[in-house]
Amino acid sequence: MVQDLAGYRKHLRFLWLAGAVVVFVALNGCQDVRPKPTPEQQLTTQGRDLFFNETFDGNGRTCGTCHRAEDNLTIDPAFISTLPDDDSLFVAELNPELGANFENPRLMRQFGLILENLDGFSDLENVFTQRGVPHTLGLRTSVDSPAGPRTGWSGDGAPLDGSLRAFAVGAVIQHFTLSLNRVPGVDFRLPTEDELDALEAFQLALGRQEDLALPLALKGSMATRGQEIFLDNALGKCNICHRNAGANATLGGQDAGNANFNTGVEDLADQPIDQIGERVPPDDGFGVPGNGTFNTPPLVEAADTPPFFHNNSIETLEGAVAFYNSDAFNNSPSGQLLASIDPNGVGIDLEATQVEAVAAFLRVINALENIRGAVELIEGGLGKRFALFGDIDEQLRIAAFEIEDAVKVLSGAGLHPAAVAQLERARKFVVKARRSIFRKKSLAKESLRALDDAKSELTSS
Amino acid sequence: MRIGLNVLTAMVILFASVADAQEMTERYIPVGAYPSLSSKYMAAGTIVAVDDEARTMTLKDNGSERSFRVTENTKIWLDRSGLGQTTLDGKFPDLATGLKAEVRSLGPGRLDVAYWVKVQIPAP
Repeated sequence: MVQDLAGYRKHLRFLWLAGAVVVFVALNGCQDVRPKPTPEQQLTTQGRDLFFNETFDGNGRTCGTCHRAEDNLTIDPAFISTLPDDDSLFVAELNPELGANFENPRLMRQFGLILENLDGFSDLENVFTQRGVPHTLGLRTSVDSPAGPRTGWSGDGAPLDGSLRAFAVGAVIQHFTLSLNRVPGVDFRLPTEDELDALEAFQLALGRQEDLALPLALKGSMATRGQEIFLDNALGKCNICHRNAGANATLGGQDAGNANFNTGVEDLADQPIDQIGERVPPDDGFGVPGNGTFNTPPLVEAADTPPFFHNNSIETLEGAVAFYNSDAFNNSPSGQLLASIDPNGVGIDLEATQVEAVAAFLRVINALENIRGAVELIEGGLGKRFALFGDIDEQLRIAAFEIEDAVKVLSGAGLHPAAVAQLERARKFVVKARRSIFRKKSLAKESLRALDDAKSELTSS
Repeated sequence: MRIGLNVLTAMVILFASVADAQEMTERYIPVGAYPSLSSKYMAAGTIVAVDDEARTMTLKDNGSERSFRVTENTKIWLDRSGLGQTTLDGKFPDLATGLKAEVRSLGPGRLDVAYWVKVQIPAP
């Protein structure tokens, strides 16, 4: 009896100990110890909530309806095809008030195009443009120009002072309205000044906070050669308008900032949209009436954000680079000007191999940016830095998309299989971490190690 | 080559100067809704004078006055958001003294020419 009691006590002590270990491990896995957010971080968090949740009393759309966190803060036909029919993106199919002249559902679903009334609202049936959705990554580096801020595909995407802060005002009027009357207080409410501050803070926090400093010490021969061509102002000439693969130009030795150019995209023959018999007026770009120019997007984020150009006319990255060999570009004002300053009178003339090399370079720097972004997200989830998207699960969820994108952009051109293998490992760790209760943090840390290994396969810097 | 690039720079800045924002959604923004976002090419105030012959209007705000020429190309918008109704296109005779108004000028070199004028139609 005494022996039984001693055995029972021993058993109970063991159970207590085991329970304590379980609780400790669970707490270690789930504990969310974060430093107190700064006022700027609080504003950014408020902006994030507005960006993804606030409908401004309109038709149900939010900023996040077209700028999806899961799709690089943009949207494309493949992603659109995964959405349910009652998604607010399709409001023109759901709300009879918006059934005509608000969107073209066919063009939206097939090409990812959104209707914009950039040249006015007086003739909705005939005066409109159809544009893709630009991502909102790296805005900190891609809005300023000597002549003022430049937003959207033609640089004049925001009303009033044209700033990123004002952008949401125009977006609500254009895209959030309940009816084509567009009456503030009836069809939507306009953002308050405080909300504009928060939205701006969130958008500026997305993606890269600074430009690259090229050249990078890349490991692959294709990407290395592509970088040389990119930086060669007598061959690729890419760096003239996309300094350091960003959105800013250096012209005549001067910083021209985020500049506008007429590159002739509108003059491309056999554009996809032309093949389906939809009537879409030519897009005249910046201003009213437009001067035919469009704003320069950053290239670091290009490879995982197809389709390309303002009208989503090119599907592949290699096609987008090859565009600059085309008659459409070389006969455009920008192409002609490049030719006028070339000793041989040539605009841009690359061999097919050179096109592929430049694209390989762009794919690698995109993958490096994916890795940088994923590391930042995972570290945010672990409490090591500000968590832009919120809790650890959401941080890991978005990180997984970043890693998937890196896999896609590299494997899409057969580049760096060893890096791809490490990226696959990293993604598996992130997926496991999201599912795990007890090993969330340790698995997330494993993913960071795999990402570091992947980066080491791409660059020695 | 340097001269060509300088020309290109000038073209870029020229292109950038003819307009500085997406003017068209401005049609639906109530007069004076965003003073902190007002462009340097915009002015707001009360219409204190209208000259039919010269087709000019004068805005007064905080004691200072600015006059603008209203050309045939100037867009005139009637802001009826206070009535819960949509903005309408207006005409020069709609620019009456005493109404609150906002003007965007044509920009550098043409600061006295109105690109658009938006007048607030007061609630009855």
